[in-house]
Amino acid sequence: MSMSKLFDSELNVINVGLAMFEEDIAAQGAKVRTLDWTPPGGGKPKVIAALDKLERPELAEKIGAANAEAADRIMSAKPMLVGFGRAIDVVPGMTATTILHAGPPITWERMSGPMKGAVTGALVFEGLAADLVEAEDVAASGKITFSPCHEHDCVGSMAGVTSASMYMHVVHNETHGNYAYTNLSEQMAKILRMGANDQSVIDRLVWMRDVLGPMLKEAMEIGGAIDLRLMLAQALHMGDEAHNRNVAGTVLLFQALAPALLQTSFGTEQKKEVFDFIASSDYFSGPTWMATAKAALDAAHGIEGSTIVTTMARNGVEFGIRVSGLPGNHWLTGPAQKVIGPMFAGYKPEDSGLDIGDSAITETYGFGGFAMAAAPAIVALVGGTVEDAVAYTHAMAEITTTENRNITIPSLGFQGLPTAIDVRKVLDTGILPVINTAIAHKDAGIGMIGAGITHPPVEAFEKAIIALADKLA
Amino acid sequence: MSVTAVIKKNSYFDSVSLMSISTKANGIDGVEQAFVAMATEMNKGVLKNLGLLTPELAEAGNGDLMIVVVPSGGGNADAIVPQIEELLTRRAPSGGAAEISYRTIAAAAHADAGANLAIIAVNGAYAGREARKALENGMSVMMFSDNVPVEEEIALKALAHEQGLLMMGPDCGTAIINNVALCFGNAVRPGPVGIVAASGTGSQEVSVRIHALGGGVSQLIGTGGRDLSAEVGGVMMIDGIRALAADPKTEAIVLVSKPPAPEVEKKVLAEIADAGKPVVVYFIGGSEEAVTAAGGHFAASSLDAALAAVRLTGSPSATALAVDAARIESVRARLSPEQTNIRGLFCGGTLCDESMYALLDDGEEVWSNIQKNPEFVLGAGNPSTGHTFLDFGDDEFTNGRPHPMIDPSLRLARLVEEAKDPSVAAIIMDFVLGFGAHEDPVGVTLPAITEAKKIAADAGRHLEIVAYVLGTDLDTPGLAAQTAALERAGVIVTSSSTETGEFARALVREGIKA
Amino acid sequence: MKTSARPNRIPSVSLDSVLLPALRENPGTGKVHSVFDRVINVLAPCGQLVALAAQQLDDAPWTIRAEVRDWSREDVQAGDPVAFGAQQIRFESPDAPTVLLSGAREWFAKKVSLEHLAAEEFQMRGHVLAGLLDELGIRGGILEESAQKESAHANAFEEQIAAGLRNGCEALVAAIRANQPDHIGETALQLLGLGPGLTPAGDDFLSGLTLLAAQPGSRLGGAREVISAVVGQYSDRTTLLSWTTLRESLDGRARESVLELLSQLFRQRAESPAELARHLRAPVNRALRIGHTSGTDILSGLLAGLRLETELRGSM
Repeated sequence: MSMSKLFDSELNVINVGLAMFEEDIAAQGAKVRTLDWTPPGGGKPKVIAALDKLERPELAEKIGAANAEAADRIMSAKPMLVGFGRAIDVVPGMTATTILHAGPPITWERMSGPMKGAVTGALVFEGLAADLVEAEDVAASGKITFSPCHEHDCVGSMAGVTSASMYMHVVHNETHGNYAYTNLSEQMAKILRMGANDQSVIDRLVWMRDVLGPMLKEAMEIGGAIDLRLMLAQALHMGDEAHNRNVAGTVLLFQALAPALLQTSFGTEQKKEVFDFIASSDYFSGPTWMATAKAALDAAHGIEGSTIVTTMARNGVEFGIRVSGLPGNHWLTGPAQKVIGPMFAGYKPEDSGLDIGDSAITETYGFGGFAMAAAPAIVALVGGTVEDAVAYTHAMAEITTTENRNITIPSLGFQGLPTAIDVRKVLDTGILPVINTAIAHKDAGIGMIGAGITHPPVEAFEKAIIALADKLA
Repeated sequence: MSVTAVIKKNSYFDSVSLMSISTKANGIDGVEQAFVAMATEMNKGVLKNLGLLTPELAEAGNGDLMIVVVPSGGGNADAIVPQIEELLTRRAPSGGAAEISYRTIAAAAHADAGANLAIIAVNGAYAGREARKALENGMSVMMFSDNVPVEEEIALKALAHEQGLLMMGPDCGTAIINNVALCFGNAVRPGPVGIVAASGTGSQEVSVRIHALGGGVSQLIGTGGRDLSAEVGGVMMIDGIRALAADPKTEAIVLVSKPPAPEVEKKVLAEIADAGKPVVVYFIGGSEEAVTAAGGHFAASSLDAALAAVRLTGSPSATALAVDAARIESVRARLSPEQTNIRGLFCGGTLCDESMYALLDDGEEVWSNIQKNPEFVLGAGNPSTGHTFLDFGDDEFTNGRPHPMIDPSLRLARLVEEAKDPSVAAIIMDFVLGFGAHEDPVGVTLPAITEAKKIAADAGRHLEIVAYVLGTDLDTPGLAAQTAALERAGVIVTSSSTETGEFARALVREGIKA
Repeated sequence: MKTSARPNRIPSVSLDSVLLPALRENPGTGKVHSVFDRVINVLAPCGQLVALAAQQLDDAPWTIRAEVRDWSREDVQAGDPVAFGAQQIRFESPDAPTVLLSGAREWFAKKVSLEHLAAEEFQMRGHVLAGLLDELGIRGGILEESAQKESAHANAFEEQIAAGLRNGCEALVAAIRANQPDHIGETALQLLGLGPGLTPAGDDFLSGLTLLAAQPGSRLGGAREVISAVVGQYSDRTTLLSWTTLRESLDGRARESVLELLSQLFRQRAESPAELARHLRAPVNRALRIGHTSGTDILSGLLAGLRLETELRGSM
């Protein structure tokens, strides 16, 4: 029996709760370490009761198997970029008067400044309103259907506002057969998704609809599908974390698209416009990686018994998560948080809108904030030190299920991405997922004013664990 | 006196670096004395008083660092200065890797595979969960927390049993594992006696007595007070016996408990035959026949238990002091006829029990908050009556406050209260030393003792205070110093918990009103 | 999103609330005063010494806690020019960082009212603090080395300093007790700058004492005024860092760990000295981690203040 093993070894104590014992034990020469302990689930009895229920051996075994399956689906998904198309043509459930938005469901009245700015801009762009003033009336009229991107196999960066004639990435998960969609990067800072909506913004959207989108669509028809998972893995090896840093990914994507773009039927002038547009910002491939993650995570959604997070998304007011074992559109929400990080010159923290966008799908997959160790250069943008960046990736390993064997971080000895966030582990450790993101101005019409780091509200996870316990136990 | 000074203009070193420079400068060959200080007026004044203020130093400003060296006889200033300059330029190593802290037992266990025991001292609502995580990660557990549901205790002990791990507790305050005392324990000599105990102070007393008799302790395994109840069934005590039976460093085993549930007692005693080592059984108020029939060595008292263990492990001639009849006589002589009652004010539950049982054995009526007989149960709020023995460590007294071993305030107040009662002949107290206990339990009580004695004296009575100090010469503060302080205050100090009970019994048996 | 090369920008976690108006009203160029692993002291254009501290240090007067673990990797030297603005503090040398101030939490020094406390309450708290200090304090400053250690290690200079501190502290306490303003000033001056360290032990003692004196309702207000005048007049008697610290203490502002201890000392409802001691152990330990003996010396001053408050209240 291993008690004799204890008697034969050096005593090595983990001390939980009362620090005063540590001193006496250390004074007697034994090794002792006091935990930085907090009550699990923040000490909330309902949360702990839920955690306890889920830890019953027979249930824990079932959850373990379900989570392994979910993690495997995330990792084995093979998202391929297969084309581009107008939302009305490709997105399930899309209509001419539908506006998709980021995050969990929200009504027009409750939308944050940036999202309202994006919605009114989109209504003008679609010709549903003559100007921004009228657009507000239209938005409030009840004639517009607002719906979360996530409920239409889509994701949307920042405000995530997606209207019928916007061009979308079409990503096909070859392994599991599902599709994911997201619209195109507008590059720049003063853009619709950040809440900007003046004429320059609308003009760019029109050009994207008339030139960029069709040219990309044609190029894909010429060039054929692109393996996004492989490209993402390469980008991470080149120092991206693929949420806030996309330098490498954009170069790789452009490299893959360029020959076919050249062969399209457009004129040289328009091709140069497109090339210039892509070169104007490193963010060009940002949405591409979001759709990559979405395609994989949707495949892992709806597994009976799984406590793996398949969606983290914010609408600027609320942060919502979905969990694999709570199938369909079962959103668990809490208040959207502030984003902490450096601001562009001239802006103050008070100017910041709250955390917004579906881009946390990247962290849900295991890159972005989770892969900061792969992208030490990111710290200049989001603040912190290189050590912090590495520490974030290590900390995320404490709340995830496994490492992604397909996408690795060279500087950590090719450790795989921390993959498959487990609601139970989040509440057990009190460690919340870390999210790299941009900061939009709190008012409509201004745009991006900084970037930084944020976390989901713990409430969303608490609601999730309680719902899981109710369902499974 | 020749002086060598180095002045660093506007140089700032943090205090720790400054200390290290100073220490190193004093260690350079050929240096008799070296001082390192900021050149403030007052510091320069000190140098001036010492005759060391060179004109150069006098010029230094308050943002400058002075290093002043007085070379020894053979010291060569020219050789010393470069070495000092080097001290200043050498960068102190940075603090090194920051200590990594962990949030969960699982993460800490993952990071340090050598971790083999977890002490759980969190709110009882969370304790079971943490203990389970520790067991699942292959660690034994000492659970200090109480208020843990009995079903949880049963499940944890079953899990530990399955895994071959110790599950000490809940409500386990004392253990000695691999000669390291955990939580509340005393510094005792390592040796061949293994102890499994369901009572904290009881096991402390046995370990301390073994030490005092020249013996030593291999392991002291706590089981938690509820282990020998019918519900829990003595799982940990039985596993503890088996573990000590298999432990080559243990030559004899001592079991300590309040009276177990009868069916559990039977189960535990049945283990003795298979132990392959002598087993001493001290179950307070237990039956000698049952123990002897099971092949064990019956101990009627904690002292008995210690004596038996020491005799069985290589010191057959060990003896303990008998109660000093002359001392009893001298106490009795000083009491007045109406002083008939004894009051016991205890920190240690087993110590209280042992003294109380000494009187009960003689058929005396004893009121107590830990009385088994409901007719004689006395609540924390009730005044004492007749012979009253109170365990201040019992839940009713500790409710919401620290254990009396740490916070003596309630007992101090009660001591003064008891002194006012003209029927009281003697007050008996215990003082527990060791890890986790109050840093000076006697010192903090002395003013109340003095006051109590004065109250009695002012009323024309002699009040006897009898104290027992549970501790060893290795504890801090040590046994000798605490005993001496009590004796200086006119307190009679007994030599063991058992003698304390005997003393009380002798006082009563002879009839206090002689 | 642009990720073009950006200068090394370090956000701040928190900063002293008095800094913002001071920096807004006095922009300009200052210079680096001193560089330590975890603190860079910079001299602001207004003449104020400002500390840029690593995030794990506590808040303090004129201090900005930046999001760094240590400064040793930054290329900053004493004497380097530093540009001060309301939004940022920029080290003006190549590769050196810019510390961003926007977004930082503002820190305020809290105060504790001593108005309605009776002598016994001071006495009990003094007793508890004395016990903890004796047990946990770092010797070598105000707390003297134990006898056997002294003979082994002390040299003439250290002995003189120790004697000076002992006499100075006793004389200052006696002067306050006797309410002799001239004496208070004289004895405080004897302590100012006495002791080898960057914040000499004498100053630390004065800081602890005056910090208590600066709390509302203190009976030591008179002594504080006298000491304040002396400190104001003799800024050249000690290091700038120490002088700055002391001057802030005179205004009731000190490092958060010390203020937290002060607050726990008076706000903690304790049934008994033992319980209070148990509560205070952690905050005392934190405060003792300041400098080498500085924490101990500050608390020694605080303790002297508690004892004086006890006496002054008892006699009323």
